[in-house]
Amino acid sequence: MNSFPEAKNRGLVRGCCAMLAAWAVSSGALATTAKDANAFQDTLDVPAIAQSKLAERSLIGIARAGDRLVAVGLRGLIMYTDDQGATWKQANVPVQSDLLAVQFADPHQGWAVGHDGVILHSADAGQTWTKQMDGRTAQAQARDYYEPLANGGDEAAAQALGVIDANYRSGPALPYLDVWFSDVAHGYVVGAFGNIMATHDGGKTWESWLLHIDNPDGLHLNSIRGINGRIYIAAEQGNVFRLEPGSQRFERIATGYTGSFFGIAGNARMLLAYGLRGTLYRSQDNGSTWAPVKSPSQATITAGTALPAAGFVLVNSAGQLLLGDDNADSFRMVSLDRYMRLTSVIPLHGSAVALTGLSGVIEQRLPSQ
Amino acid sequence: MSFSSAPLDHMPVIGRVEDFDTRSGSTFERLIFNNRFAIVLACAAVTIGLAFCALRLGVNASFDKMMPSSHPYIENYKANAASLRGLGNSLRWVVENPSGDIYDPAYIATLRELNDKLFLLPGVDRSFMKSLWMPVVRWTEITENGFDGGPVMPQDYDGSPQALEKLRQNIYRSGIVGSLVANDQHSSMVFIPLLERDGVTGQPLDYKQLRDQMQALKAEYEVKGVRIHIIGFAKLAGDLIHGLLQVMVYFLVAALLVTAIIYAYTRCVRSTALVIACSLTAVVWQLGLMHLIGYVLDPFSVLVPFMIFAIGVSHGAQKMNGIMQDIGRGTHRYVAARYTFRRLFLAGLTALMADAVGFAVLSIIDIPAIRDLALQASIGVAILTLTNLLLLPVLLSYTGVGAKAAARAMRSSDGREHPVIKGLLTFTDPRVARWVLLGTVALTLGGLVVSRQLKIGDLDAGAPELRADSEYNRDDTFITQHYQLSSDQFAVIVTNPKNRLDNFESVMEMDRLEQQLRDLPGVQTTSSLASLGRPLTAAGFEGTPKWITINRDPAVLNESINNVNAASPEMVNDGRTVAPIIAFLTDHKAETLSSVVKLVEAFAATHNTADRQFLLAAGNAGIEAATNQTVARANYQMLGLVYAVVIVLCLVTFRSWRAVLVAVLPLAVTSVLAEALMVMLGIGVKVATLPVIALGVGIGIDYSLYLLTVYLSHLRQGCSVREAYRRSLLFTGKVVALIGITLSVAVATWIWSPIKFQADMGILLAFMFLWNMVGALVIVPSLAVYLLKPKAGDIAPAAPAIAGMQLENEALRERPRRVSA
Repeated sequence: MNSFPEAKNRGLVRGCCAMLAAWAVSSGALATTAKDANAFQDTLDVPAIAQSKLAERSLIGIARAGDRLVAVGLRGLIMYTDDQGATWKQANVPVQSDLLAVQFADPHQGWAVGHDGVILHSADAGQTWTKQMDGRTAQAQARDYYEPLANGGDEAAAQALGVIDANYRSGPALPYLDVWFSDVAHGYVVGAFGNIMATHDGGKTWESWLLHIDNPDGLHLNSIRGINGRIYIAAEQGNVFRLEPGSQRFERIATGYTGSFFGIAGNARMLLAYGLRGTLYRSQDNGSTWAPVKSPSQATITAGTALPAAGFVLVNSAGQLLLGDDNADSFRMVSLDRYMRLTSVIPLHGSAVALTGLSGVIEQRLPSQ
Repeated sequence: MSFSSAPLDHMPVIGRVEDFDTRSGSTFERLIFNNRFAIVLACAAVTIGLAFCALRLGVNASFDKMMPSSHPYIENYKANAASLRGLGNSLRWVVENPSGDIYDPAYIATLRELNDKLFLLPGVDRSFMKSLWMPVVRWTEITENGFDGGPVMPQDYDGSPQALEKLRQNIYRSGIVGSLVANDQHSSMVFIPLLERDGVTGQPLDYKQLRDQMQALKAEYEVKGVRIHIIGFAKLAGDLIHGLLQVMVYFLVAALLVTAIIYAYTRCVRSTALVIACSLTAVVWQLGLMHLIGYVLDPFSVLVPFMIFAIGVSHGAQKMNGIMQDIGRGTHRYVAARYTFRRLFLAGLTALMADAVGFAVLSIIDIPAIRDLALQASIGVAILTLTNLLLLPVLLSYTGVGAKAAARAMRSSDGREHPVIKGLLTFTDPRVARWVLLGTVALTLGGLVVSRQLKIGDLDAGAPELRADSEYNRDDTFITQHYQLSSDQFAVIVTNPKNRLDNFESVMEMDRLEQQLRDLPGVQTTSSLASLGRPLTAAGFEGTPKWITINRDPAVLNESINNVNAASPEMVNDGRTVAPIIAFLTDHKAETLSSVVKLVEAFAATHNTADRQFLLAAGNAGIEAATNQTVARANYQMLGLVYAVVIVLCLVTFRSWRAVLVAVLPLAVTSVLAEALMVMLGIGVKVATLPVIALGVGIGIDYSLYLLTVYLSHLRQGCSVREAYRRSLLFTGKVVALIGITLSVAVATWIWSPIKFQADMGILLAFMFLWNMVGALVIVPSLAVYLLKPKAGDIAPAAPAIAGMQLENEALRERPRRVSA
């Protein structure tokens, strides 16, 4: 269902990637030495440009940093508001890559990830960002790690090196699709083709976790979230991965669904996985077993969250909200006044949520249940 | 300018033609009048021949001709036009259900019938036509098993509620709300790309025929309960041609009005008929020659006959005056005709040449339509020298004039003062003149303040060629309000002939320019390979928004570009070397356009490489930006040049800088006031207003030339300011009024033209012709009080009696030898 030329080698690619060891990452950008002053500047090498009409931009993710809201979107856009969205300011971002997800571990420390394999960090509640990692440094480090081994006669390493080179033939083409930090030290990034990394020092160093996940087919890892002390990954082909604290491995759980899950939401009682064509599955036992829930819409659900008061709210690509009760027994559909494909949702004060979509960000008051 | 070759005392009153020495006069005069019959015969033959040519004169509205052809933007566009099909020719038919939404079986059935008829229209590029009933319009959806899809119109559609529900679902899934289906779903669109040449016959598209067919279809289906809105280049061209045909009818109105004025002036059926006939002959010749040279009538050139006719009539009537007075005094018609010819040929030639200069100056503007206008008008004026200076006296020598009218002409010139003349004479009183000049200064200053807000370009929404309330612009407004994309499109042409555009770097650079453009006030949205390719990349990844991106992997990128090309072949050429970035603008005001131009030029300066180029400009707004630049530059050039020409002409005629000031200052006041009027009427400086500036000044100087030559001649003979002006008015006052009124009336009929720029030209020209007349009659004497005073010693004891006031004014256009200077 994707068109990367390496698709037929996916398993092998992921297997080899899995052998990558810890990568120490610095945020130093690789500046291109351009002869022509007008030569192309890579999206990883130039800061995002200032944009106007921020509240109408294509946004993909939103997070809370204390009382502040921080949203990320296309072309390196990160913006924040301190007045519930009345006014937005654009953050300083060192790249122009499309950004896909953002999360804050405390009111100040946050991470954003996206295309070009970029991982950004902010220590000032989202106003300024620095690059911790990108697809290019990942490739360089992989080579640094594998080359001596391969030269020393390690066949697996030599094979891995070949695959790494093939995989990065087109440069840093693979995105990280989501990020989750349990606290300011411990976090994970997940992405296309099963890519996953973890950090235990707030992102100063990132280590490949391909050996820590039961994903031999290199399925896309679409989303990661911590719920009730457990960490879950929503993935392709109806798979959910759950981090087992003892083994420190993400164990694969088949839900019975065959399509993609794009995320998981949950409260104290219930986990809810959502995805392609409005699919909804719920679990009452921390993800061990799953059962389908009747969905009111066939549009792909892109994001969702449990509400602090009670119930669930999900958003879809048809611009609708799906409101569910606390047990996720049944859902009803609410259409927005203004049509836009929705991409993320977080609860605000009271019975309101903040929604992002392809044409901006809005605050939406939820109808009483 | 000196034409004293025919001293007046050599023209005695001769009552019998036998007494006249046919060997007198110049060789040229003898050649003409001793071969009168041959001349008439030759003219008749030429007229018949050219009339047949004129009947075959084609009609068209070419947009190419209204573009500044050597502007770099236009050159860029033309060099890449073959790869920019989407910016070319298409029609959009919006079919509206006035009694509900589109999910109505009757509506869908009507739409189907109409769709099939439109499909068969000549020139339709059928494989690219899109509508709810075209199977190429499809929905796709990603399912657990991969792609699913089909035509938006269910293949088993039967009008049942279930089928309609399925259609509704397909429309949602296909994402065509806003493009092929209105936002409110009460109408849907049939998108019809057109071929420049008919696929079967190879003939170029006939816009008039296409428009007629479309109007017939529209009328037929509106009876069946739908409302139809049509926009597109072909419809606009058709509407312009239609408007042009309507304006041709106005020519009859103008001709009738002018005829009435001439009759009121001469009170002689015979001479009125002759003047009108000769001027019409000039128009027939001019139209016939246009066809022979290979021109067709377009919205600009259709105006030339009006001007030629009006100039011909006003100059002709003035010649008639002389003949009448000669005949009134008893001279035989043949002799009178020869006298008139003798006196007036050179003078008339000079006057017409002055008009021709006004037209010729226009040819400096780099816009073919204006150059054609200049050439055609110059040809027309040249023809007038034949028809009105040669043919008219020859014909008069046969017909003569009515006796009553001749007697009246004598009476009216016997020196008795008309009350209007008395009124005008007060302006030579310094106490009155002071106030006139102060008032003029105040008016001019006011005009200057207002005219500072003068804008370049077209200011109204919709197609600027047509009126805001025209059917076309109402349809345009409807479609803009109910669909997502505006009709003001500014396209940047992106080229990379060597390394193609289907690579990450090129697409990302296009994305960057789009991003900057979208940030610009006045830009609604943008479209290009980059922004269209983003969601198509996501389509390869289960449609999730996280993949709305430009990927570095060539395989991923190529697939998205191939999908763009399949869905919108106009957005990138097959060789992947040329692609447009289209900015949809909120309007086409000059500021909006120049802000886009500024941004794109700055981007190109920092992003163009040896291979990859961002070129301006295509799309209607891009072409308008180029036109605005050309027009803004030409506006100053034109003003500078036309005033330079007029000043030189005056200087040669008057040999006095004071007289030049007196003649030119009223024109400058008119120019300022005309600009203020443009501000007040919301008319911007555009292609159509440039000829107005040139003609307003170039023809406007006629009045002062007439008045001041006579005035200076009398002043030279020692008259006081008042007496000199009185005599000038007696000689030329009627002529000035006649020219002002006939020209104004002829152009004023354009005000009712459905073509907006013709209406604008009509208003402005009528204003300038009339106001120049007022300037000549009021401001000129007031200025003369101060600038053209007789020197103290010059006042002769008695003004020498001039042999009859019936002198032709041109005869007095002798070089003034002494003026106060």
